[in-house]
Amino acid sequence: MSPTNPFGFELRDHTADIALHVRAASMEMLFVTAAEGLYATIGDLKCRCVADPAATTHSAGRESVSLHAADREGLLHHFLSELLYRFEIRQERLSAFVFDKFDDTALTVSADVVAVDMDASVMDREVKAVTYHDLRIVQTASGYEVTLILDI
Amino acid sequence: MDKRFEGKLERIDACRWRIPKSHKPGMRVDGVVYADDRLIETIRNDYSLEQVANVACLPGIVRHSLAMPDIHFGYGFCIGGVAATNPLDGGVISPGGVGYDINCGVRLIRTNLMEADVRPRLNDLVNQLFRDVPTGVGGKSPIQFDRKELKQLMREGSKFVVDRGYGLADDVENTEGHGRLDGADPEAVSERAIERGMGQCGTLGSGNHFLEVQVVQKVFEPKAAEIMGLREGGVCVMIHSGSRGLGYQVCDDYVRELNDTPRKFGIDLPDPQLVCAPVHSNEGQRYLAAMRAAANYAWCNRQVLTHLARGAFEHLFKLRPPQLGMALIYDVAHNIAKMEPYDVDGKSCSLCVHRKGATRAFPPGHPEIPRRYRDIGQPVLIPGDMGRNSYVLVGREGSMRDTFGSSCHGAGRRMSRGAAIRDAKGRSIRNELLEKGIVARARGRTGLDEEQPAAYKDVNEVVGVVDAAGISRRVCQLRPIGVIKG
Repeated sequence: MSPTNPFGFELRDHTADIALHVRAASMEMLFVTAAEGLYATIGDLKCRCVADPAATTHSAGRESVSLHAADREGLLHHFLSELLYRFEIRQERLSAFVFDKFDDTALTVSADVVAVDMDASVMDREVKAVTYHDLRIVQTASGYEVTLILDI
Repeated sequence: MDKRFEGKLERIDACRWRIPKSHKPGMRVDGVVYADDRLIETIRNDYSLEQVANVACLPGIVRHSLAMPDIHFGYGFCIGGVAATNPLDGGVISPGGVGYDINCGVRLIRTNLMEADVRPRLNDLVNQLFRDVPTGVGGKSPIQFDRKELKQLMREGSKFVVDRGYGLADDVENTEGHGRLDGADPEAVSERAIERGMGQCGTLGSGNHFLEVQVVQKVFEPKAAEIMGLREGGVCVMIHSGSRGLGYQVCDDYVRELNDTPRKFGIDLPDPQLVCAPVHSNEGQRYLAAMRAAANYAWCNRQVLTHLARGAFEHLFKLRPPQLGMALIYDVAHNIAKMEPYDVDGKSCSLCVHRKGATRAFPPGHPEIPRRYRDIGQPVLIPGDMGRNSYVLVGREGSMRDTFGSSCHGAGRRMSRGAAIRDAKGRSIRNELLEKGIVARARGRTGLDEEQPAAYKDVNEVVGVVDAAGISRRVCQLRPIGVIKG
């Protein structure tokens, strides 16, 4: 975020953990930007190149994820938790999100799935969990904002 | 969260402060905070005292909502919080009262080596440990357990891994609760938690987790130190880690699962993060069973880390185990909930004691303490920051009388990670530690900066309070000479 671009994410102070503050023009972009913020909190993640270095994409394919929750905040929590799980267990990073369904309690999103090169990446910190702490998506004059506390 | 506490804080004595239950509606008991005059001023500046007051609203809470002098802001419960609830009185169990890192804890291993033996090879030792002990993001244990074994170790605790050759017989005896909580049920642990746990048993993690090579700097209680095998100038290894991704996922799963449970039982919470269930409810029992499984996993994790550390010392110094004498002094949990008997109004009651960033500290004579320590009290291991000191304490009678057998757990953060990174800008924390004679290696880019000594309260002050309050007493002061972090 910057004075000329009010949208994006920033890491804010929190006593023991990390507060990820996100602003976006739309709900979908709020989720996408939060995902970028989560990955940035972990570190500078480099993708594993596929066999063809001339390839314009390193995608291992495109996958669809469906989630449901009691409310939008729950959806955001579950969405980011899913990304965290895939990174931790499969060393995958998801990007190029397209929401096929998105309402207050359910979403279906397709995304590029890319393998992370763990050796080439620069890791900053392990994120234990996305917490529910004070999790509230707020509508603003220009869009939406939320602050997520990530347990480090 | 920076929010100065403006409520009433009444001084009880030189080490304790009361938040009266009149502070907010719903408080069933007073809050009691252990702190001296200096510490309380820092403590007032974040939201943690309000969290002490919120915990005092939990159904079935007994006597006080307590906070140790290393208190700081957490989720629901503050870090450094202790609360006991009586299940017979509708008492609840709350995942926030345990934390995401279920059975995060500390163990201390003594050696026959003196600082003079290690100093000439300190760089090599730290590098060897850094090679052999998996740390940081994506670290995978060299010792793998399959799904069936994982479920078994969740049931059986650290004895499972010791029996497979990853430890010594006395390791189990010298672990809190023999490295096992009864009533663990791996079937209450989700598939996702199991997936996260596979491959991580025997990994240090990141953040404030560490493995330190330490030297005994000062002995306060020679008899107790001798019983533990500690002497001035002697080298020890301290390990701080927990239940890794498995435990984090169990907490996340049950915070979600219990989300509607307070409403179901008519429990009004001042903070939704105090999500909870009556201990005797199906929901409460399921969380307890899963929490115990995760706790047992954590003891196995620290046991495997011990095995790896012993291997690194053996490899580097070319000494056999009897020559190295790397015996486990003790292992304590500092994020846990346990059913323990306490006297309440003249009756012995089995209470659910939540310790979140607090350590069990049983006094001399307590039957749960290993026989060798029964005359001196249970060892209490208090890690400080990587630039100053850590401590070995023993429990005292005051803990049973006043704090449900509990003491502090560490130094407690006083600076956010962001502030610590900004404060470290233009400096090399690694070189600053080197100037103090401390060799540090960290895998993460921001690890040393975020965890720099200035980010923490002074553990000497924290320990001073619990000693003066009569809940534990100092045996040894330790200082780090080698550190590995994630």
